[in-house]
Amino acid sequence: MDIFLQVIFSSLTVGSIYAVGTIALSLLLGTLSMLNLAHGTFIAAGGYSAYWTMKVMGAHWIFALPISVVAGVISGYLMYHLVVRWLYDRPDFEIDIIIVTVAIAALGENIFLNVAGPEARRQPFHIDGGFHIADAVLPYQTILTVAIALVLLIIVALILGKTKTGMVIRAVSQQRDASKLVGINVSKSYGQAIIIAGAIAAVSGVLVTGMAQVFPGVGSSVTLKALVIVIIAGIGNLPASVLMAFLLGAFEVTVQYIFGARYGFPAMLGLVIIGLIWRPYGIFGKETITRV
Amino acid sequence: MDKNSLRLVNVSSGYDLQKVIHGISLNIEEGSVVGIIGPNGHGKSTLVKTVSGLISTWSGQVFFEGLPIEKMPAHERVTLGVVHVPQGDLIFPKMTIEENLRLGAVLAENSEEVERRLDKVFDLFPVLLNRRVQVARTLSGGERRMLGIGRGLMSNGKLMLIDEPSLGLAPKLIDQIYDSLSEMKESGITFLIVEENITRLQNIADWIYLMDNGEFVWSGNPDELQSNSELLSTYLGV
Amino acid sequence: MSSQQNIWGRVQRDFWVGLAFVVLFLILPAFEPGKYIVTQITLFFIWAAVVTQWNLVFGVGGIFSLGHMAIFAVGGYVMAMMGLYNEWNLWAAMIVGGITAVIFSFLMGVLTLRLRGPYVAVMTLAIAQVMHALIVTDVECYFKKDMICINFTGGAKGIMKFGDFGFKEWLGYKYVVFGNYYLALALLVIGSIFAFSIMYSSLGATFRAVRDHTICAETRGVNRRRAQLLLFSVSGFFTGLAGGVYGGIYRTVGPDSLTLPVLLFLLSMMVIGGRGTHWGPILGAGALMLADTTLRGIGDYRIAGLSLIIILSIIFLPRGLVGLVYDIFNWKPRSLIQFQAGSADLRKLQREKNSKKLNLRYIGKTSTL
Repeated sequence: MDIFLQVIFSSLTVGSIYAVGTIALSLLLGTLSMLNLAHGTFIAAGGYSAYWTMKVMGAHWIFALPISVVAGVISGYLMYHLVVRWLYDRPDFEIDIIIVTVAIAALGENIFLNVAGPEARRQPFHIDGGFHIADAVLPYQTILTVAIALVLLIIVALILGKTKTGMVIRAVSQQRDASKLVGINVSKSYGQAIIIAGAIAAVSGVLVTGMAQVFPGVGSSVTLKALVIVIIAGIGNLPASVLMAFLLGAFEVTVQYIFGARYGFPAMLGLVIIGLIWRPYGIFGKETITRV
Repeated sequence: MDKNSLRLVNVSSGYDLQKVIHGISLNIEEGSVVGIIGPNGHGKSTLVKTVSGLISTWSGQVFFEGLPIEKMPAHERVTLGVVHVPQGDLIFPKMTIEENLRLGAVLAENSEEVERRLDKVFDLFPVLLNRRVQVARTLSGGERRMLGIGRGLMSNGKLMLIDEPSLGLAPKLIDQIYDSLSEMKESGITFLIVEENITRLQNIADWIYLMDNGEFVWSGNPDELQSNSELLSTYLGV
Repeated sequence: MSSQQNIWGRVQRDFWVGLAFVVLFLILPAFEPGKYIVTQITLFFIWAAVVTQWNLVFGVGGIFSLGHMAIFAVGGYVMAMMGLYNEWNLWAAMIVGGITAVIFSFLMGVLTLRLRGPYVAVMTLAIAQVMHALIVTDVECYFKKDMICINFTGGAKGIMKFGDFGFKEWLGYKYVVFGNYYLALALLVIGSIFAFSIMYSSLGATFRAVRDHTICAETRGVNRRRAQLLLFSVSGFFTGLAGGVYGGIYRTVGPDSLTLPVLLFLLSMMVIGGRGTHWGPILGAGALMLADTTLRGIGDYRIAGLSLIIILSIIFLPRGLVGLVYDIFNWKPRSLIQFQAGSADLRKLQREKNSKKLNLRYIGKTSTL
């Protein structure tokens, strides 16, 4: 009984990390068809900036999340202004952006390595302890992460659905030429979407590093798993990504308990591959029809 | 000074390495309706896209109300008043009619102004009013066309570029569309209409250009066209 | 007609360039450049061979795989394991490694090629990552050899002592380095001949059609997936072989080839050389090996440098160095670019026919309202 409970709590913990990590990724993929392999850079930026705010500057924890948002916005802006705005109109954009973001991810990690050093540090924005039920522990940090994941989901939904910027981004994602013809600056919309994604990813980074520690490569391991989850969930379906994050997290944890830690991700990947053979557009995705 | 709404001087453009339009020049006076006819695939749509900015100008100049716009990105030309209603409508499929229309006025800052324009469009096309909350991709061909033109109106253009307004529509609908175009003409909007259906165009146009192989091979007023049967048979199979 | 002449012209040009390349590198050791240079060039041959196959698959075939090194690793590991556990002759083991790599590529293709292009990148990357993780966390002792614990996959240390190509016995200790050199050169040449053949074949034309106009090509009965799967599998042979050659030359096969720095290194070769081009992989590999060799001191910033090369290439040199060279030799202002030969004639004919008939040439006549 205890093991069962512990598996559930661990699943929630792991799932919450993945869930919060998929939101920004799914946003960019769904609206701009942009597969951002540099997502991890935003995550690391969030984690490091929160650490810097609390540990280095000694500020109160209440500043950590806002500062991480700023870090995310800056990172997002840089990525758009230096790189994406040259590429967004090219026919090869979808594949170009993958190659470029692989490079950006490596570059980002290298910058963090050189600036902050390779050591792993504890994330000061962190709640210790948890609920003790029977012999199992449900960490407070997990509950916090789940809560923030849901809040972020709601924020994205509100931005996309209720703001003018969001409406414009949706227009661009549905029909790019028509957007230009009503006067929308498509390039600017890309920038806005990336900045929003950066901010959200940075906040999620604070929480991710709360569980996994702050180190230069923290982004990349989460990013790959988040990418896999977003793909199997179905492109552009944010709630589905969050759901799949928890389901696959649970699966991974269960496999790890039974077979050992090293088999967790391979098993998860195997399950995803099987799922994709069955449904190539993701379980909750739909086939998009491109105009000839 | 310049009475012309649109002036093209020796404009050439195309796609990738394929040149489609060769040295096109034309003038459109403010408030007039100019039509472009000709066999399919010879550059009519390309010309319109060059004027609106979806395709960049390879050489030559494009003047709108005296201002050179050939280097301007498409979305900026819209702010000046160049509005393109494209072939195939290009509506926002997952948005409602009303959202589509409001996006037409996305640049407008005055919300009262937007409501005013919206009312005008619903006046012109009551069908759209009836279905205002319907999602655009479920609309029929005629409704889409009206939505496309309505959205163009929402942008409050001074120059409307309409690509094949009667394409794929039943005659009764075409009547409706052209009636609304006449109404719009009365409010002083300048039109450049690309059409295959010469009859309707003749009724509304002040001047017609015939395009073949990316060049203008004839231009004149609609009556001249009517009487020139040789021209009609060669190019238009009439 | 003229396009076929065009192709034959290019085949001839490529042939002579290739021949010059091979002859140059065949005789290079005679000039005694020193052991270090020879080993660096050997490494250049191997990476060029790998990128040639990767470019064939990625740039020509449109298979956006980021897990190419997994195939390389399979080739190397199978060879090493056959050499270590079954004590096979390394040459035979290398061939087995290549064949296993084909099977592995086929499987990888079957599992991932149903997805749309960009998602193939993520899934293949994940497969390579998983392979790396499984190897590195392999800490169980498979068996004990002289009191030393040996993991089945060699673990993080890798597999060693699986035999060698026999150059020492055959050529003498001093000339082992040349044996490696010519073996790697042979690998590159054979792999390149395969790649060029594909690119010039109807299969290559098929891929170009699919890459440029997927929907049109598919409605004409081109089975994209089957063609891609075939290409992916067969090119896996040469990639696996490269893994074997690399392992045999360095006498160790480890998980390092599956890490991000190596991926970045090879990716930058492919990108800066020119994706989908004929000579891109070799140009790119050469350029980057040269840079890597001469810029030894900047270890910390190597990754940053490679990243910047990739980013700047994609933005400013989308067709890579090959595209740059082509542009330099073929400078033509856009307004002079004419139609393709066939269609231009037809249109000109049409125009003449029409204008003769009506005697009208009204270019430039404007409205006189």
